[in-house]
Amino acid sequence: MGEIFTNSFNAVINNAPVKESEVRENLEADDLIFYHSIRAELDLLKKRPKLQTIHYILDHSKSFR
Amino acid sequence: MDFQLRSDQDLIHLYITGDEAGLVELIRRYQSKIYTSIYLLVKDEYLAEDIFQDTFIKVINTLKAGKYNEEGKFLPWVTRIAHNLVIDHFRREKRAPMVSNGDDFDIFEVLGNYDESTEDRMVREQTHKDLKTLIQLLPSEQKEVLIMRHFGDLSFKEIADITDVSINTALGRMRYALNNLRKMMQSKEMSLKN
Repeated sequence: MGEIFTNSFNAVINNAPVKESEVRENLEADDLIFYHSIRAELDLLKKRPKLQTIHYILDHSKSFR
Repeated sequence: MDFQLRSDQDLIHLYITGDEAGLVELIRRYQSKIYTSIYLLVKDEYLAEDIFQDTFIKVINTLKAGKYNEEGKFLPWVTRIAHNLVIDHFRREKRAPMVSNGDDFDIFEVLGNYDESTEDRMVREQTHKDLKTLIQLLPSEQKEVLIMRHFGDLSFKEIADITDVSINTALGRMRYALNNLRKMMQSKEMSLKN
């Protein structure tokens, strides 16, 4: 009885279509622990563009007026 | 008017209707995420500045032309533009932006090369500089996902859309990236306790 149930259950699970939107956007626990351990270090790599670059972009925008 | 409290959509609407402050706030909000993502992929500050600038010029031209699809989110859209410009650059340069791009990537082969040239520097540099170096050693697909996830703050769904792969593939690449970083750090006996 148990075997029949398991076989039927596995058949349903294995053949069930998996929608991408239903895939859990999570990492395995080990990966998450490691990721969180390096997050602070990763944050130190953040950089910003030069002000000159921003000014050039804003000047380009103003040229549309 | 406190622009910092406005949604991206509000700021875009303000900008399209003539208020430059909407664009200023969008740039202020996302400049670091977008610039860092570009910089870590191209590894050159001047080139990153150029691509960042070109990215926002495309953004401005699209918004001003009324072609922006309001259903999409702003950051993934801008990241996609930046990503495409980075790819265009490497196509023009005809050079690969990474050590290895193949499925047969072996992290220990890379570590062998890495040992010879930079071992002494590894000892002296601060941990975050080491980590930056290790990120550059990842295969481009793995590096891309790590950068977009962490620095771009994108979901795996958004990363999958931008890189034209399934969510599972994007997720798998992130796992490989983390595993490879962990292996490299263990191999180098790097510590993140500081």
